Amino acid sequence: MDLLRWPVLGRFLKWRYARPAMQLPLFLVAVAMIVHGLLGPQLAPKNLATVLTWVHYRGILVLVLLGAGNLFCMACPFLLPRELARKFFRPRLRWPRRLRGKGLSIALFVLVLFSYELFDLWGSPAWTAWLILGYFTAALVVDGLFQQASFCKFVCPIGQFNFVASTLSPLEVQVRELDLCARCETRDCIRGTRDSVDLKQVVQRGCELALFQPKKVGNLDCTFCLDCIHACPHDNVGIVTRLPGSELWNDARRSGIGQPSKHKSLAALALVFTFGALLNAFGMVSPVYAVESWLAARLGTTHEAPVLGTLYFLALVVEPALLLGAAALLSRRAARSRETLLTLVTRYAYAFVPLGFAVWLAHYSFHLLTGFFTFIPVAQNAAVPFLGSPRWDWVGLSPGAVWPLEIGFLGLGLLGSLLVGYRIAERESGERAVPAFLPWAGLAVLLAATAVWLLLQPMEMRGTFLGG
Amino acid sequence: MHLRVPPSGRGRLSRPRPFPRLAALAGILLLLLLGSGGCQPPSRPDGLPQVQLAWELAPEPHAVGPATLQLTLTEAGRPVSGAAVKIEAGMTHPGMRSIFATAREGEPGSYRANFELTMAGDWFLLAGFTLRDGRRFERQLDLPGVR
Repeated sequence: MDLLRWPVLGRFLKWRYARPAMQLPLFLVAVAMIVHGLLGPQLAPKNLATVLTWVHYRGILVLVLLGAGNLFCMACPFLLPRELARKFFRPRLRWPRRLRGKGLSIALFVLVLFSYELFDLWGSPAWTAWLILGYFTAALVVDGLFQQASFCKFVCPIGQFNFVASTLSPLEVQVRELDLCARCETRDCIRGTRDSVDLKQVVQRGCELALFQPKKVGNLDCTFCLDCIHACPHDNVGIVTRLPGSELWNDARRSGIGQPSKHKSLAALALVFTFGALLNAFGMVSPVYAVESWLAARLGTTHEAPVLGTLYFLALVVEPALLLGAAALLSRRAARSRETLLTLVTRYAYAFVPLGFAVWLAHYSFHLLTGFFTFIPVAQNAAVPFLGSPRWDWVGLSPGAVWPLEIGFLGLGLLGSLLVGYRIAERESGERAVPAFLPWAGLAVLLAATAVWLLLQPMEMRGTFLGG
Repeated sequence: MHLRVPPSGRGRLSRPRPFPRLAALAGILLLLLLGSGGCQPPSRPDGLPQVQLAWELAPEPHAVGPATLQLTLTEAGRPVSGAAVKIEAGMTHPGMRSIFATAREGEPGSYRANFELTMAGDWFLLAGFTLRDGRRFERQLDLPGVR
C-alpha cells in the first residue's frame, strides 16, 4: 500500500507546501505553549506548556510512531523558523567529521532525560517553555551555521528517539521500482532538482540527511520530510507499508548509515533508547526514592545532582554493560564464536528496540489516556471567556482501564524483541542460532519482567528526592 | 474580585522553585518586551491584607489516604464567618485527576474539608474563598512529598 496513491492524502503529500502546511499549526501551538508557559499560571496541571508537552505530545508521538511512522519529524515545528531563515542566509560550514556519529545526540538525549528528573520539568511550566524555546534556538543556530539537516541528523534528541522508534513503524519512504532508479542519471532525490537553465540553481532540494533512495533501507535517519518525493522526476518514491521491525535484523549496508552491525554509536543509541525507557519509568515509582536515599547516604550528600548522576551512570552504563556483556559471553560460548564481546553486543543491540519502544509506549500512553481531556479546561482557562468556565473535572480514563493496554504493549514488545533477536542469531550463527539466541532471549525476558514490575509499583510523582 | 492574602499558618505554604536567575531575568525581559505597550503597575485589591488564613492538614506527616483540612479565617483578629470555601486537591504532575471538596464551617471562622489523597507524590491544594460580603480570594497550599 502506498499512501501517495491515496486519493486526497496522496495529493496533499505531493503538494510542494505540504510540510509547511503541517508545520504551521504545530508552530502556532508551540508559540501558545511558550507564551502560556512563561506568562500563564505556574501550576503544571493548569498550564498549556506542561500539559501539552508532558501529557499529550509524548503520548501522541509514540502512538503515531506505532500506528503510522515518523510523522512528528515530518511536521516538526522547530524547523519552520530555520526554513524561513534559510531563504535569507545560506549556511557555509559542513558538520564536523568527528561529530558525525550518534555520540553527540546520545549525550543530548541522556541530558534531556536527566534534566527532566533533576529540574522536575514536568512540574514547571516556565522550564518547559524555555526547553521549547531552546529547541527552536538550537535548530536555528545549528542549521544556520551548518549545511544540510545537521540538526536533525546529528543533534536533535527527539529526532534520534523518533528514528529508533520508527524502526517499528508500518510506514517507510521507499523507492517504488529499483530498476527505474538504475536508469536514472540525475539522482535528484539526493542532489536536488536543478533549474533547467541555471544548473547551479537547486529548485527542489534532495535528501538533506544523506539518504540516497535506491540505497536507503528502513526509517533510520529519515525525517519523512518529503524532499525526495518532491525531487524525484520519475514519481518513483512512495510512502509504503512494510513489516514493522524488519529493518532491525536487516544488516544490508544502507545509505547514510552504513552497516548497522558495525555501527557502534547506532547500537549505543538503541541501547540508551531501551534502558532509558526503563529508567524514565523507574523515575515515577516509589522505589526510586528509596534507591536515591540509599545512594545519597553512600555518597554522603543531600544534593540531588550527584545522586541522580550516579543513578543514571549505573542504569545506562554499568547495568547494560554487565547484562549485555554476560549475554554476549554466554552467546559466544553457545555459538562457538570467536568474535569480541563488543562486536556481539553491537550486533544484538537492535533486538532490544521493540521492548524499549513498548516501555515508552506503556509509560507515555498511560499519561495520555489517563489525562487526555485535561487540555480542555487548561485551554478554557487560558482563553476565558471565549471557551466558557473551565471543567477541571475533565481528565481521562482511570488507571485501571489503561493497565491491560500497558501489559499488551509490553507483551508485544517482548515478542518483537525475541523475534528480532532470533533473526539476528540466524544471520550471525546459522546452524547454532538457537543456542546463540537463548542468552539474549533470557535478557529480553528479564528486562520485560522488570518493566512489568515497574508497572506494578505504586506511582509517586515527587520533585524532592529526600522527602523535602 | 480576587484577593491575595498573606500567608500565615502552620503548614508549608510554598517551596522555592528550582529556577535559575538568568532564566528568570530573560523571562522578565521577554515579559517587558511583550508588555511594553500597555504596562500598568499592579492595582491594590480591596480589603488586602486584612484577611488572615491559617491551615492544618491531618494526618501529619501527610500520607496517602483520607485527609482532613482545617482552615481558620480571621480579619483584624476576629473570625470570618459565613464564607463559602471550595477546595481543589491536585498533583503537581499534569494530567492527573484532581479532587474537589467543599469546606464546612464548624466554629465561627473555622472550616473543615475531608478528602482523599489518592497517590504518593507532590500535591497542591487550591482553596477558593467567597466571603459573606462578596469578596473572593484564592490561596495555594503546597504539600510536597505525600507518602
